[in-house]
Amino acid sequence: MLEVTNVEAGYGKIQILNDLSLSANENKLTLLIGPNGAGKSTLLKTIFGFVKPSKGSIRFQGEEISSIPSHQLTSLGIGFLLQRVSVFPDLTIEENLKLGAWSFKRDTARVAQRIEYMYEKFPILKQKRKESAGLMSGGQKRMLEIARTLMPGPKLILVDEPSAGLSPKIAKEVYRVLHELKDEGITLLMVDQNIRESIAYSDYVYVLERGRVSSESAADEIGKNLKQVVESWLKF
Amino acid sequence: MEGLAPMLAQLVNGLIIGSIYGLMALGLTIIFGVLKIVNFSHGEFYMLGAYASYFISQTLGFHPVLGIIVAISATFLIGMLIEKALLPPLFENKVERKEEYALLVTFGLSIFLVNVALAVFGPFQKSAPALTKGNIDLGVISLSSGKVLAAAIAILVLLITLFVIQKTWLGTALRAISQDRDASAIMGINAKRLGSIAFGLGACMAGAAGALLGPVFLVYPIMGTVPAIKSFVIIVLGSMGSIKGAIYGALMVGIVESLGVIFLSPAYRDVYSFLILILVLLLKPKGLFGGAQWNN
Amino acid sequence: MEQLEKKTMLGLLLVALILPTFANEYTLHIVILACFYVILSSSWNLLAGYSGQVSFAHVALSSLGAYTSGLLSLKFGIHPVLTILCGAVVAGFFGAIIGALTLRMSGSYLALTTIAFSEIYRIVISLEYEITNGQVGLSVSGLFGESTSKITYYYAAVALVVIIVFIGIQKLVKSDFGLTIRAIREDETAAAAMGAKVVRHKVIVFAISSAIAGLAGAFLAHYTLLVSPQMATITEMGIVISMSVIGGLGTFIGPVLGGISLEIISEYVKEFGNYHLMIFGLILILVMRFAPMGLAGLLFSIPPGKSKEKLAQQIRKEV
Repeated sequence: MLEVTNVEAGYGKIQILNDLSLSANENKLTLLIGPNGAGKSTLLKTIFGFVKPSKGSIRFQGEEISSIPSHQLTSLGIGFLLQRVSVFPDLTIEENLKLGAWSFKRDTARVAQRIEYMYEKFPILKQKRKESAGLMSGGQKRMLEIARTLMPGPKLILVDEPSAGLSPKIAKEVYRVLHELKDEGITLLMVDQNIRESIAYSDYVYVLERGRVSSESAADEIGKNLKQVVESWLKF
Repeated sequence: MEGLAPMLAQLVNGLIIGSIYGLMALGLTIIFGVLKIVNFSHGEFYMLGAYASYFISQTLGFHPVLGIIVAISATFLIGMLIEKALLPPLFENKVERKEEYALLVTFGLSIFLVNVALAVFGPFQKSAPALTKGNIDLGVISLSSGKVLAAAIAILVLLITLFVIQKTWLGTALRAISQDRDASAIMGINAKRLGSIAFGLGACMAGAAGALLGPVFLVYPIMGTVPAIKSFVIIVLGSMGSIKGAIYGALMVGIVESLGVIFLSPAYRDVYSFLILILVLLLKPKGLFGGAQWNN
Repeated sequence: MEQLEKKTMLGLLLVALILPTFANEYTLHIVILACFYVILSSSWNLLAGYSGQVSFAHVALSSLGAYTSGLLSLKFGIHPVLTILCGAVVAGFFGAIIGALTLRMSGSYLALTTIAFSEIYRIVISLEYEITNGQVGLSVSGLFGESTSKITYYYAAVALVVIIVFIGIQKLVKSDFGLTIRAIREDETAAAAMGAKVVRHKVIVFAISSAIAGLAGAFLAHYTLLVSPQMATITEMGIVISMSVIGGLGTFIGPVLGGISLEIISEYVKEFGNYHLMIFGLILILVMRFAPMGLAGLLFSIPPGKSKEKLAQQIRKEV
């Protein structure tokens, strides 16, 4: 579904991604792991267009998307769950969800239906629908972000460290939701430091080091070498 | 009881004019909230609005209210075009010192627009026809109907704008952009295009204020400088980017100015707001309404 | 200074030296005015271009120097040479105060505060006519006496001032002090983190730049034999900003190029009407949008400031 080929990208003079190639297959959860600074977040940002690649191609369902403006990717079916908190803090929960429907805002019936669906899936959001999103707890914000990302019914979601800054209990909830998404047929490309949790549900794993793929394998195979791989990072 | 009447008149006058300045300040706050810049040419859109309205009502002889509508439309379009022409470097990461860039480019625009107006319209103050004739007699004081109508229109435009910002898709998207630009893009919001709209919106509110106050204060090329500075005072006092703050700030500035004129000296009228500005920037730079977020 | 810049400066100096031999009084007058603006723009460039503090109070401080000098020479009969220096000191003092008050302010806030100071100053000066003679202005004595035929003396004097100011600014910019203030413009937090005494540097630059402005203002007063609130308007501030930015903000030769070219444009355009300010505004916009390094950048291909890394390296060596 997503093909990244020979991509080079960076910030100004600082190059982060060097000749990076990988792919995310349909209905699968593809995991990206690697040491800090390897370029995992940068890769996701480059796929979504926040960073422009200087070389290489990024194809989504066969179509080249590297030169498409970021805001047009939602209608193509790509969502992005950022690592940092990204709820609109001074808008209500309901307004946050509504904005998730921006790409089909004219279809008022569908907007209402999708919002109701999110309220069923995430009851806590319904409870607090008129409250400011900025006042919620970290875990609730995460849930809102996921619900908001799901509003347009994306086919591919880029996920950047879903459990960052969350307590283990909340993190488990977040993972449960994400893994449900996979069961529902959504393709996920996920960056995560929390390898133990993610690898159980992943289908394929890429290890990123210094801006390129250093190794890749199916998730069940990497389990054996995992300890060695992670230890090799600590030698940096 | 005798001395009270002129004071009351001065206070009411201050509130009327303050409400129109509030409209202008709201425009400035919208631009700041969405684009994160202080528009140093805001006064010139005020001036353009006044000239547009003057042209319609005095030169062509139509009703002044049509002049106001034309002023709003014209300044909206000009604002949008200017944003598209001058502000892209801010969002393409081509500029290292963004605040400095916005400051100098809008200041340059200000110099340009004032002097174009000087060249085209001449320096002489022109008298624009009042919105309506006559006076409203409230017993103790008498108000000119034109001024009251102007204030009423200003409040109407204010309420319409608030409605748009709070209740429509466009307004919600603008608020979203002001709070998190990247997340807005993920939603599918075209921040560049909406940014142009935001600038046009802010500019047309200054244009509306100019069209409304033209009949009160006379129309001339540098008429926008002092109202612009007063708008700055208002949004700084009310916290840059806060809509509620802009409105309350306008009332406060209007009242303080009137009190200053009544109890101190009318000649120093403008100085009072400048002093407020300095005091606020030195003591409570984030304004009285806290935070730079675009609050309700 | 790079070689080409140096050669241009020397060339200009040469032209300036031989000018009085063949130019008429009017031309010398224009050149003296141009020099005034060049000094004002260079000192503003020091503040805004090098230390990143875009202040709108510059012309007001220049005017303050002028009024100080004018009033001292008028009321106490002190010779203008001394009062001009007093004007510079007073302007520098108040510049330091404004600098201290606005320390924590970023671009737009600093701009607004200094606009407020400038306008308050102008209004007070205009209204307190018992002291200042209001809008009409004060008639003051000339630096070289009353007669205006001493124009070559004035020319020599302003040339001397220009040279001294330039050498001073050049030395300042090339020194460790100058390096630090440039780092402050690039990234104040980083500079502070590297040990730069940001507070002290910012205030000192404000003081020096304001003192030079006061000097220039006072000099102009004792040349034109008049001090009026006219010089303290935002319009005049706009001219100074235009000259510095169009010439090249943050470069040494920028204000010189800007001052000279805008004066020339001004002279030509005035024959058709009062369009020069409109042109200044337009060029300012175009420069910011398409050629931010100004004329200096275009003619001498000065790159948009050293990269942060290079400046950081240099600072680490010095600090």
